Amino acid sequence: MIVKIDPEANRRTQKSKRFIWMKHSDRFMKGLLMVPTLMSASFVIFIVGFISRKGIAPFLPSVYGSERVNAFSFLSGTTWFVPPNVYGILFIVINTLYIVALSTLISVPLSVASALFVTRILPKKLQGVFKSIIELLAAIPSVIYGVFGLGIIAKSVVRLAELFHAQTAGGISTLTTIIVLAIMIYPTITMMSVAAISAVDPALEHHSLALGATKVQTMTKVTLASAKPGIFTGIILGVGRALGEATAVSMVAGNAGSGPSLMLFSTTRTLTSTMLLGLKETSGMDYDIRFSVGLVLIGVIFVSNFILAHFKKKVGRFS
Amino acid sequence: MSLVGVMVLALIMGFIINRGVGLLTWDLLIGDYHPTTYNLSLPTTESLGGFARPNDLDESAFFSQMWGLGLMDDVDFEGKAVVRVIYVDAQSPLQMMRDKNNLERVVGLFPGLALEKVIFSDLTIGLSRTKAENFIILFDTHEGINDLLAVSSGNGIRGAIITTGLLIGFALMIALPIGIFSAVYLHEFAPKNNAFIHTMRKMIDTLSGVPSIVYGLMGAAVFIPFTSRISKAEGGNLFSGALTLAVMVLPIIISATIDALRAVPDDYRKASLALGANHTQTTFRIVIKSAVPGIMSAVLLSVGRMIGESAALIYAVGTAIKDHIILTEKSASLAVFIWSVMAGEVPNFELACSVAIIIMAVVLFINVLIKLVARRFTLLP
Amino acid sequence: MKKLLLGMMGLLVFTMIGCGGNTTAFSFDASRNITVYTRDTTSGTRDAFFTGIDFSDAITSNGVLVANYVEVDGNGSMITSVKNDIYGIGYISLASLETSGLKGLVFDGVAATEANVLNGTYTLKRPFNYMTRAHWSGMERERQIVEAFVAFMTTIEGIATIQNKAGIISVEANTPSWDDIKSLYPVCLEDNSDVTIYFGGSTSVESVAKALSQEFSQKCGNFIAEHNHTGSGDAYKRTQGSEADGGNKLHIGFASRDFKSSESGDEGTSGFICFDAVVLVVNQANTAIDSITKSEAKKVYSGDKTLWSSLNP
Repeated sequence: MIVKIDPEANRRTQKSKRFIWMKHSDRFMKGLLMVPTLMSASFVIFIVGFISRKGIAPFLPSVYGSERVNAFSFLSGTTWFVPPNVYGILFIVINTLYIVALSTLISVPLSVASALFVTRILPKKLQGVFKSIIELLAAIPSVIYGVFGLGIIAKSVVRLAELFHAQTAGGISTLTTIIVLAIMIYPTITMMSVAAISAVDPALEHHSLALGATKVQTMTKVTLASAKPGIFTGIILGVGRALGEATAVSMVAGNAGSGPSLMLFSTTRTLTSTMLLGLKETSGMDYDIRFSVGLVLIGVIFVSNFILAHFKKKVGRFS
Repeated sequence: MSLVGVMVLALIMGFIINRGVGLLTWDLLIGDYHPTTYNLSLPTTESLGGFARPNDLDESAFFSQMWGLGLMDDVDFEGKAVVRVIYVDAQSPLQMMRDKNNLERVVGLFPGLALEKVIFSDLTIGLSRTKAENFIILFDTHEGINDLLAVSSGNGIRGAIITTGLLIGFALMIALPIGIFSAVYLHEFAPKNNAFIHTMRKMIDTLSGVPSIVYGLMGAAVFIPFTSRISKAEGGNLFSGALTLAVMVLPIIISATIDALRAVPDDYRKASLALGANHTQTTFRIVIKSAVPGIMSAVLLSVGRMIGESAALIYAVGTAIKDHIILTEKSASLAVFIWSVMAGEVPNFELACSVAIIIMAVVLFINVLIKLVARRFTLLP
Repeated sequence: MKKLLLGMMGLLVFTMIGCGGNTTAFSFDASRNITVYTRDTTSGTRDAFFTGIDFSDAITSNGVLVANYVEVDGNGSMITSVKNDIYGIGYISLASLETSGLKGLVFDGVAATEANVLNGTYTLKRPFNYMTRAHWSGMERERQIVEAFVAFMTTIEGIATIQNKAGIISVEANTPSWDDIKSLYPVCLEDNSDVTIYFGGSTSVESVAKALSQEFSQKCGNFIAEHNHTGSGDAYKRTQGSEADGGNKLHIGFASRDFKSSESGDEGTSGFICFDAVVLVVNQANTAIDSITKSEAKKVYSGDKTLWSSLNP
């Protein structure tokens, strides 16, 4: 038998071995990299899962037995805590929605007007400056907004209350909370509106002007109309931020004990201030119930996002 | 009317600078929060008496001829009344007191200290509560001191600064690898138009909309028990805080890295593959290197977010202000420090605003850095 | 939309006005409502107060209080709140009255002073007590330090510090000095800088406790004192009760009231520190009243009387 020795064969094998190794290392890397990705993606589930586990505990007979909280009275209650085991959250939800709605109502017109101003009226050079200012406002940590709220806004509200012959608890009131939140979400909505308005096709505006509309009419009817979806995204982000804001709100809200607080000068209580204030225990029902409040918060954010996104679609249809 | 933004920013900055700049000294940055106590004694003395009141001593100060000591009523950082030592004569026996815990050590009373109480050798007690004048009267009628307690001011934020640095450092160490690799996978390796991948991306996007307090709840529910089990920590500690922060900035890092990867021209990849490199080598040696500026802005954005974070840390770490930082114990970061100081006994606006100035300075610096990095980034071919 | 914007401008103008000047004193208008401040239900001060005004139903229930009460969660918060609200009324620890900047009310004809507490004429008196852990497994050093601390509180130096923070106690003739007894506590000669002792409980006792721990730390190896005061209810709970072994545990807790029968600790683990009293306070700018009777106080807190002018001066 003749064994043919082919000098090239060795090299070919080496090459193809390397080729196979390269292909395999690709597949290996792909698999390896999937791990951190799966981890990242699953955090959402972790968060909801673990919070639910602790949050549902107060209502389960298996955990707290006869001391457990009645879920129905929890969801419909108007007093936060009546010892030993009665908690109520409905009025807190009403307060939270009320406050966020009013802050949004104050903030949106100001944001949109500012965005229009920055993109359409300001000369290019100053635009950058204004944008930086807005970005800086967005980057201020919430605790500093809280200090500012206590120091200046609360004091101003006391004076305001004097003018109306109303009484406040040293300025800690619903109105202060609303103002502080409005200031906090203003940069968010403004930045998104600026982006949305900048993306409007200038041709549209030229056409409008050419047809005889004034600059103001163009801005309001044409520019804004086509920027509406983007602005709405900004509003959704702003509302999300306002609903979840904890530190600043708990410093100026007052944590009222009961009843929806619709009067502007009375103290109030929101979902987030409930979670953050009066935090004494790290175990037991009083602690676990805050997770239940957290669950309700997640629910409220989810539902409001859903509703607002629905509106956004409707609004987008007509532009 | 759209100067609203400018006005508000000016108001906020003006307020915190106004209130805070007074306390902003180097001592604030490197000092302890808790005051230093001096516990001194002086059993017998010969050289008492005959001290003359110096001419430049403040009008409202009280002077003891026996001891050569000047005391005055003053207020401390929190506005509480203290009896302040403002003059100790060079020849005064008070310069040669002994530390009660280390009788070898000679410590002199010095101006600036707040005198709390004195127990004289006949067991008469002098309290700062009764004010400076009474103290001086007692000094003038007694000759030996058994126990003297004086306090130096605290309110330093060194502990908070170290805590913040440790938290951010550890959080980045955890979040950067996970985030960057996830981004690399999603952008470079994952099959496009795959429903599963699409769901994963959506889930990561949802993570960025979660409010910080919910992260705090998760940290308290998951990371505190976890770290308690694997270390000697009990309750909140810096590790649980770092883990919570890491999860919080993960979506920021992922999305910024994906943006950075997206901006790398596809030509780079094609050229590399054409030259015979495989997918892995292309990604790691070429693409990521080009995306480094983008990754740097991801880091900066995360740091900016973490430095101001308060709600999540209040739950996941705790609010105890410490000077001596131990990783397995709770400690307050800068933002939590402000919260603690404002929500505690007596809200100390001045101290809160000083710390706020520091945080804002860092935030401003980071914002400027991000702009610079972005500019360099877009200049890449 | 323009009108809305103008409205917002107006609001901003008000803000500017507010930022311009400091809070100038408004003239007190007695026809206004009384804003009632109270502590939360775990507070020993609340317990002492409502017991003292014969309104025991209110000790654990907020439902019997006047409709718009405001709840604060600590002695310091109460002081800040009443300081910020000229129409407010609240109750604080007598020990903190002189540094609070508030006006203390004469109660049932007796002024709130130390002398009156000691001679028994001021009736809103209550003790400051302490309670330590009963089970110290694995915490031998901590146990020794706390034991030394408890002894320190009975020495002249300790009593002087308590008095300096306005605790009401007198020095007896044979009170020892710390120097006399420190040889009984050798743990204080060691370096304890790696030991953390957890203090907690009543917020009324907080300033006394902090002063004592700060001074004693120096005398006993420089242990780290960590304070977490959340209310008298946690004194027993976190040393020997349901949270004694959790993340919130304490080595020594303080209460501004007597321990209840449900809080009976083990033999020798609790004791008395000093006396204190509860005093009703109003803002310095309040011109309506300087004194109040027990029944009037109850009417204010139950909502029977809601206007400042309705109170008998």
